[in-house]
Amino acid sequence: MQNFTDDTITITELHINRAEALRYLHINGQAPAEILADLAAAEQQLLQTAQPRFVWQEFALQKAEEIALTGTNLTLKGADIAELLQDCDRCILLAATLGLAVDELIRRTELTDMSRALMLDACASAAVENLCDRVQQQLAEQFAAQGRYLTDRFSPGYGDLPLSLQKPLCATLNAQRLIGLTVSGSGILLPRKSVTAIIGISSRPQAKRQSGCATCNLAATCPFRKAGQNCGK
Amino acid sequence: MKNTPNGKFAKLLQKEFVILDGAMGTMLLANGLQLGESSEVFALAHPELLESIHRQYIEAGADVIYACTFGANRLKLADSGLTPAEVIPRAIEIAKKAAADTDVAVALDVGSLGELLEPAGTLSFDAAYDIFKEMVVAGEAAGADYVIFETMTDLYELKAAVLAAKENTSLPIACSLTFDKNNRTFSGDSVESMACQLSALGVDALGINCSPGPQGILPIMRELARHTNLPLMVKANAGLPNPQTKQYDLLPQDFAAQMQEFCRLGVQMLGGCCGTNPEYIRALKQAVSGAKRGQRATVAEAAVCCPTRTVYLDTPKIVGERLNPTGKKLFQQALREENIDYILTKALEQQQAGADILDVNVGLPGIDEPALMERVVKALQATVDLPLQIDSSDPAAIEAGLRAANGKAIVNSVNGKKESLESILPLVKKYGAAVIGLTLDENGLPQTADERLSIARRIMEAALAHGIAKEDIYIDCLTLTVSAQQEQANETLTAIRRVKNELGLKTVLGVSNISFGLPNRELINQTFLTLALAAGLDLAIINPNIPGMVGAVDAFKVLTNQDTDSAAYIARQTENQTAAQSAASPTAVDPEQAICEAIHKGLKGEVRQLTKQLLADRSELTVINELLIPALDEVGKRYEAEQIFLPQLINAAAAASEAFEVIKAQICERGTEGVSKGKILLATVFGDIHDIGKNIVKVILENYGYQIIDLGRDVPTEKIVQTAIKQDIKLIGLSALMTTTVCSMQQTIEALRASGHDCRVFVGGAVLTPEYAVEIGADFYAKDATQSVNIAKQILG
Repeated sequence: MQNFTDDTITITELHINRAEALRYLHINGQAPAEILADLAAAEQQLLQTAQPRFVWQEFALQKAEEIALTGTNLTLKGADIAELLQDCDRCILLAATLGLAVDELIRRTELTDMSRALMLDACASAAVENLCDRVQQQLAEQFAAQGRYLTDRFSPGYGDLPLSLQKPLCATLNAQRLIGLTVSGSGILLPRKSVTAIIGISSRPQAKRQSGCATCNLAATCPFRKAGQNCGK
Repeated sequence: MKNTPNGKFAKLLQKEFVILDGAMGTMLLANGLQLGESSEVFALAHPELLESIHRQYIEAGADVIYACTFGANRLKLADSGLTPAEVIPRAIEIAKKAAADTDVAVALDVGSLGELLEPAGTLSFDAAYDIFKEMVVAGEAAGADYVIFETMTDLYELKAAVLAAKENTSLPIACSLTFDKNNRTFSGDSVESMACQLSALGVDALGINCSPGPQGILPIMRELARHTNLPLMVKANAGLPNPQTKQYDLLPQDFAAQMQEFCRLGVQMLGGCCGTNPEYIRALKQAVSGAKRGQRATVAEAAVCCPTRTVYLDTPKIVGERLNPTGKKLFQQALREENIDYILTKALEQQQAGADILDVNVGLPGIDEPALMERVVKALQATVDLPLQIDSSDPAAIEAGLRAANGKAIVNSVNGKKESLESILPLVKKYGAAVIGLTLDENGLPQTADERLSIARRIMEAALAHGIAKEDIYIDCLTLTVSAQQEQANETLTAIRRVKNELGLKTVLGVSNISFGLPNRELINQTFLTLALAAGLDLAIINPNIPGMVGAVDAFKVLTNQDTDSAAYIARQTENQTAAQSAASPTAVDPEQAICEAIHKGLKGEVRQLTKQLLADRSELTVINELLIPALDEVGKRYEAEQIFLPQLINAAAAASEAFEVIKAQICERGTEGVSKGKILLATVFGDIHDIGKNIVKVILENYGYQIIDLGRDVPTEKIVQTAIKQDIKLIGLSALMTTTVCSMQQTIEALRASGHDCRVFVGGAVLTPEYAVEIGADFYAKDATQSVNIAKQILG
């Protein structure tokens, strides 16, 4: 992977959280050594293939019944995003992707080595989260220097924030042109390993509060929960 | 070059430089457009503003203005309630009004559609074609002078666009791609492939727009200029955007100064993209006035490509011959069962072994060859990144393959017969391919090098008359079997030499026939290949899985000083040695116990070997029922008990599938009935493209002897119902991973029930639960792959 920068933020390397990847593979407790060795190889392959790109932009908020972003035709609906942004007068829209090469790698690997493909898929999911974490971390530092504080990030599909927001959110960020991120007719982000998110900006420090099953719209059917676990977010 | 009745595009190109306009979106944003809003819809609501922007660009010196139609496609307009047929004529009318009483040309501006094409996305090539067709037809009717396809990042999408324009309008076509900092598009397409494919496809100008500022584009343009003779254009951004303010960092004067570099490269059409406004265009116009366009060297290189890789015929290249059913029973069976995965693994194998290009032949009696060719070509290019050689004698199959091909392909083949030349050369030209000419004609196989040469000359003249470039004509001087006609080998070699020297054409040869009927065929093949290479062979059609054949090509390149420092040769020889060592055979005491252990450990090579050993004194069914299935059941149980995990379960299944491959091959050789325990249809439902779970279920089920009809992902309801009925499939497995696509799962089940077809349905996927499965009408919920086996056993036995 090459360093990726948008000139304000430079990501020098991605890190794949091993524990997170193992959770995606539904491996609990001590993983066998052979799996760990395979996983390490998959991590390397994934990191070599990934082309991480991201774009972010800051907007002022106009709060009424719905939350409007100044200068855009985007509105945020729902109780959960309102709660996240309750202390905020501005927000950041963020979109990040690992690029199409990762999708291709996984697709090709499925033909010859399904087990490796599964591991690559898990590593990629962990890597795109890591990309967002790192961007968010650097944003938080930059804003903190100005006495401003970020909320956790919140994505379409969490809580009651609809998935149908993907398309207008990507359009607002001009994400196709800038980072090659598109939304399919049925609302799926493509490249597959991509994330969009909203991060509130406040003058007061923000507590971590949006994690956990309570705000997840998959809570009712989540395979982790079914097995008495959680996905770790 | 095609032309509109007024010939404006051709006139433009008589100018030293053509000044294109600057950004539209930037201007609209400065005048009230909201981010994320449709420029086209906004502009039509403010026609005076739109006209005034066009006028400002004309006053600044633009020779061309782009109509505000960039995103006026069916997909992007969907939410606005407007159609392309409403928006495009209106936008062009306003542009023409602004350009009235001037020489300024109005271009129909068409951007990328906003959704990704298959296989990366869900939009089909044909659907993309239709969307573009709607736009270009409307644009031509409204009086556009040419069409510009710009900001493209996918050559396949662009191919759909170009074909839509060529087949439905007579508009001149300009194509412009956007590149990322790594000099590739977001789809990974290379500049070389862009030049190779689009130059052959017969467009009228090539360019680069958007991307990282003039300085970022310059090296990309330099490379583009090295590989095409077409007029070049550039529309650069005003530098790079500030990530925080999104403002661009170049001032008009600096922009214009940087753009002057392009004049020296010989770029003829220059304008601005994001961040530019009339001031930039004015500065640009001033900067180039009086300047001379740099001279460009003429390009005449023989090359074919897929989007990510261009293969030049400057040194000998290997065409893999194994995707061909002739004499291969398993391949024939795979074609009849549409077992595309089998074909794909054969393709990957050849790429790994050193093939540069893959020959694709799917011809079998009683098969719908055009349909299958299209399907196989699409599947291949989703999997291997090698240029393809479309091999058929049926013009309809050749056209289907060429149309589906993403890149510049080779047609295999035409021959000297009038009928062949007349029916196939127009396809080669239209789709921008290279073509192989076989030196035979109405008089049959020629016996001398002279006759071969004269047929080659005739083929060349016919191809040139059809507008095919000389470097795209490859001649096959025909290999005849040396055991039957010993004197012919030398005639073939002489003909190769003469075609190269006297006609200046590239040559190609299928080598393997030479040795038919002789012992140690490999030795004859390898020696003949070496002689042919020495005679000047450019493309060797061989089996790359035989190390000696690839090795002969490698060695030839060493000995003729084409492989610097023998680097490629050494690399491949080292690789082969390592592979040979790791394939050292295991010696097991008890093969029955050993195969169980090998399956548990996921050791593919051992399982393959042990299966062969076991089959020596056991029937296939004994091996399957008494060894393989119990071993898999044991693995399944350990998985259920969480003693092993999913990757290990899959590895065990993959190892067992090696055993099934061996068994299948043996049965196929004997020509008796297969061992299928029944058919199961698997599909990821419409709208969903998360298919890794479904593919895992497939691997596991196949190993229990079920024949899987895999319809892939994003499968429309009708296709599932039709296939189930047509092939009388009693068990259907559906997968969905998104809450939003579970509804299409429900619709599929309802449609299956409504059809009256007698079948049972099992469903799986992360968002499903047993209760939910019942609610949407499924018969079974499979929480994982092993459970799907229990369901299959229950229904099919």
